Amino acid sequence: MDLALISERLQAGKAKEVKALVQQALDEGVPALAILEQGLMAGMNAVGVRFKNGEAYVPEVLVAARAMSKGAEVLKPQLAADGVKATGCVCLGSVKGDLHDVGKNIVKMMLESKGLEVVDLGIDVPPETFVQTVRERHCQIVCCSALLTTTMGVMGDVVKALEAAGLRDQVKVMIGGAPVNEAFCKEIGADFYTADAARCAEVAAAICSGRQP
Amino acid sequence: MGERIELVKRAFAGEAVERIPVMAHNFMMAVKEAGLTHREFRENPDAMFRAMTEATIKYDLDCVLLDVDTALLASACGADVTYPDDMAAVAKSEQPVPLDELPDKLESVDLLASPRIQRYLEAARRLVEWGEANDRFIRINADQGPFSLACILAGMDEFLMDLLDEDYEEDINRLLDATYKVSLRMHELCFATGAHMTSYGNSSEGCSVISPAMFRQFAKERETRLAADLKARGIPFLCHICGDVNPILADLVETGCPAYELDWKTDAARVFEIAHGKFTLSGNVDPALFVIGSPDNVYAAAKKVCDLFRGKGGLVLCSGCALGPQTREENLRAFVRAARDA
Repeated sequence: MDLALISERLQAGKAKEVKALVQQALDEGVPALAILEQGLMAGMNAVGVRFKNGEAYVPEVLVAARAMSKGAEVLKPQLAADGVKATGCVCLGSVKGDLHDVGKNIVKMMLESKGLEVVDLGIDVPPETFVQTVRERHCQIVCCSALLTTTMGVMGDVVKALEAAGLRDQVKVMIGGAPVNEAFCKEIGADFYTADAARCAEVAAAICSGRQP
Repeated sequence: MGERIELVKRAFAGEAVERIPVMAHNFMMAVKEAGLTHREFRENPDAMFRAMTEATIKYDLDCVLLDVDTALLASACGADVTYPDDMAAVAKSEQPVPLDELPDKLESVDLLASPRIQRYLEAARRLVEWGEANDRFIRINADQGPFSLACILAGMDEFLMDLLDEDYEEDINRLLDATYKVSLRMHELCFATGAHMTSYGNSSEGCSVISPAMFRQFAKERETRLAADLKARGIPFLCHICGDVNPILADLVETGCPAYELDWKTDAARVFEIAHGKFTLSGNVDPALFVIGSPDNVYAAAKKVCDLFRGKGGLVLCSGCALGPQTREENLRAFVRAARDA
């Protein structure tokens, strides 16, 4: 099978087709890792680039992400059987007080499209939950999302909580969302601000592979 | 009528006024400075009145903008909303009623039966009285516009994905027509308090969320209709859209909406170029700058916007989006000073 077809249908947001195509590829003996990288991840990366360039919008990203999720469901057992491991672990959440998850969910899919394991903490996540997750799951990165000026201050609380727990040196803290920017990132002592989901995934992938973001 | 009220009315009408009026989207900061929790604020008209009037006097603002959260209409329409003590109420991203059932459900919604809306309107009436006595322009926010309310009620992710599926087009249009009626009714109720202006937030229709094509397909016609209906009722109003609207600025000119509140993601110079003389800008200094910037930073950013419009009209200086509770007092003072110096 031409794995570009999976990528193309994923970009079109055709979840049922992607699921069927992934199964077909597996049935034809295509290695799961190849399907993941050349089909699903390639498709999601393409959507991410279009999103970053203002050529795709939130609905297009969401349907592509849903298609990727459906394809990944089929692929996961085979990936596990083949011993394919994630290239890094990221914990992600909308900070305490923030119930918005559209942006966070897009970031999650972009991170997964880079082969990273994502511990999705959901919405309204208090600083201590980030700390606990880093400790238990040995995450290399904490990603904090906030849509509101009301809640952006909690990102600073996450940084402080990681410091207080003695974990700050073990993780990079990344922030994103409508109200935050580079200056705010520096002010609260976080490591990276990224303006969009695609860039977030690029930086996270670089961190986990030991490259300079 | 007081000088300030007259000034702001003329500014919103697009006239070149002798000084640029200033408004702050400051309810969260006002709550904090009044020593209130958000629960106390949203559940008590006295608390809303006290917080907003104290902040207006403290910072010498020309306008009062009453706003409590983004879920006032959603809660009255039966949405699943959380009410934290120390944060503004927010609708949950997943909602219980399916898209196709929502329009019928909304037909029976009586906004005046909502205790939250009753309290809100009571606070509005008191602010209007106070505004008349103290020469302040009163803007009462009518919460979400048709598109954003539909997003909230149907669940944001699901609704946005459904926009791409032609199988759902009819249901979506039925829902948008239903939320349109709810929104229009809320404007009527807010204006009946005696407010000088109403407003609504429709940020989900901006290009930080949907494409210009999708805006034209689903949102623009209703925004145009709402503008016509509000004008027919004699209700002055503005539409708030935070996020990037640069690609649809020409469309916004065509809706007939007399004023848009836009945030820093939209280029004020482009607004002036495309929309001056067609709609008034309420904006647009980055609310984050009020938290992390210095007074000089805020003053410079506000002055930059004022300089574009000075002597030409079409601007009410505002942050363009809600100021956070961490906003520094000296920064809001610098913002007001920039308007006074302009």
